Amino acid sequence: MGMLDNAAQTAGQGAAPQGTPQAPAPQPGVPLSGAQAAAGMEPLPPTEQVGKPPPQEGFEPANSEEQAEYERAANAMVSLVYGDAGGDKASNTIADSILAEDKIGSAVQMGVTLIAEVDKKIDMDDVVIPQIVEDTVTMLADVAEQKNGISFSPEEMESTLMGVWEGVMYMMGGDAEIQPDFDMATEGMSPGDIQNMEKEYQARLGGAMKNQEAQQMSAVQPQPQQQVGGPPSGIPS
Amino acid sequence: MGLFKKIKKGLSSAWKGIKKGFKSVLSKIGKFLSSGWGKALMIVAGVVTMGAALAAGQVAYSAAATAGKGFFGSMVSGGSAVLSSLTGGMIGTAAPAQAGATGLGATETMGQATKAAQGAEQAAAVADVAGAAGNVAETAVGATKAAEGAGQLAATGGQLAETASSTGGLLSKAANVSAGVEGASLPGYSVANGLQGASRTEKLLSTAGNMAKKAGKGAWNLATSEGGGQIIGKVVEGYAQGRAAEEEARRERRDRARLDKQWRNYDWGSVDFDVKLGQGWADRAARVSADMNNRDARMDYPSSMGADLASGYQRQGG
Repeated sequence: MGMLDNAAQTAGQGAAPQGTPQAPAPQPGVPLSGAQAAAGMEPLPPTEQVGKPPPQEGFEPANSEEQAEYERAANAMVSLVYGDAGGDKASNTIADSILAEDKIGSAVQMGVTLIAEVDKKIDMDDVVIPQIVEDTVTMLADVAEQKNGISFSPEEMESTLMGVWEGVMYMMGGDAEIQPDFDMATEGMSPGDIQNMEKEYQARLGGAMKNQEAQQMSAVQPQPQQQVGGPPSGIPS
Repeated sequence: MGLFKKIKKGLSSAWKGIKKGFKSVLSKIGKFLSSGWGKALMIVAGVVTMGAALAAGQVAYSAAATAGKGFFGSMVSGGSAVLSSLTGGMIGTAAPAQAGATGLGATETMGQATKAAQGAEQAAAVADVAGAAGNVAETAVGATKAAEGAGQLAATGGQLAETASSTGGLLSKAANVSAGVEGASLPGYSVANGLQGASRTEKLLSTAGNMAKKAGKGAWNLATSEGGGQIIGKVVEGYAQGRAAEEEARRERRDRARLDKQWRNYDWGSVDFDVKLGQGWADRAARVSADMNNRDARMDYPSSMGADLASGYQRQGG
């Protein structure tokens, strides 16, 4: 069992109802499709828990005020991303900013931009930001697929989520000291736990970077079988 | 307001939010990041990012953002400049130099002489990109002043175009510099990176142009468009500025395509690779690099470099 399992149980104990379940992720050792292999891609190093439904117990439920604040923030983001407020132009701008040859990088940049801009507009409460980060990544992947046919695999969505969250942490942290937040985040964790997190994080980062470079190279040197919006990387066709 | 208010406040309350169970509004979206799993990933990203920063002796998030090499720093070229533009310059802008350095890291398999040339190139890249970062900072200040004068719409307008423009400019600049040797030879990572950055900016600005036209006609009522104003204000401001950067990026792409084609079509069978370097080859390599970093000199590559190389080394048996 990987360290992420422990983290999932720490964070995800008793999740509130979350709607549609996540699509199953590719299993370790699953071969790539021919087009993906030709493009030099390789699957992310998934743990045995990628895509596994999260534990359903132990979340601290949001109170009514927090839920209301979350809905206010989420509605602002939804209206911007899906065009209810900004019109199709704004929505199309967001969708067009996500590029097939740099899915994660472009989505991360747009995700951080959106969160910053919405926060400037409505001043979200801090406590809802993690959920908004997660929702924003979900929405960006959704509009990219619906409008431009750019699919995100589960691993790519996870990489995007981690990238956006890192960017938001940097923005929110500013010049504040890191140590107190680190102490709070690692409370109850052993050094071994943190080392295991580090290993899994680096493995995922390494895999994500290789896939990104392969995507960029295939954009510079188009492959005969290249197709935008094809099967998500890491999932056999 | 917003994130500006949160700066220096730390992440404490946001961390508490990770463990909160919200009833999501996105239940109708098919591709769903399951909440528990997503938040577990966020904990991992947070712990490792902060731990790495502390291990590197960085005590503040701004320093960590500048030097960060996690998902954000690795996936978003010039990421710190992006954050800086979003937070009004409160995040350090030294990281854009990474955009130039990234390409150098991808060229490890190149020959020894080329590596020497890259050493000189790297210094030039850092200097040039640092200059570009300075321009971005100035642009941010100018944009802020303009926004203040333009009223509430511009003040609350999104910095999307500014981000795209400045990031695209940085990427273009970085690609321009790092393409000196690589662009003329191997279609390496930095070239691809530069292309995607330019492509992204191109798309954003193209859309921005349409938006600007429509806004100019008054067809889009921004005053009542919550969210729309977050984007269009700075898009309009940055459009003309971005066009100039895009023209340069297009010209760079054309140049690189031509040089790549020359490289691929070269008759390598006629080349004697057993070259004995004479004295002072490192100096010549630095000079070659300097030439290649100069656009005009690079366009005259065949003649000027031929003369230089002819006096620079001796061929064995050739």
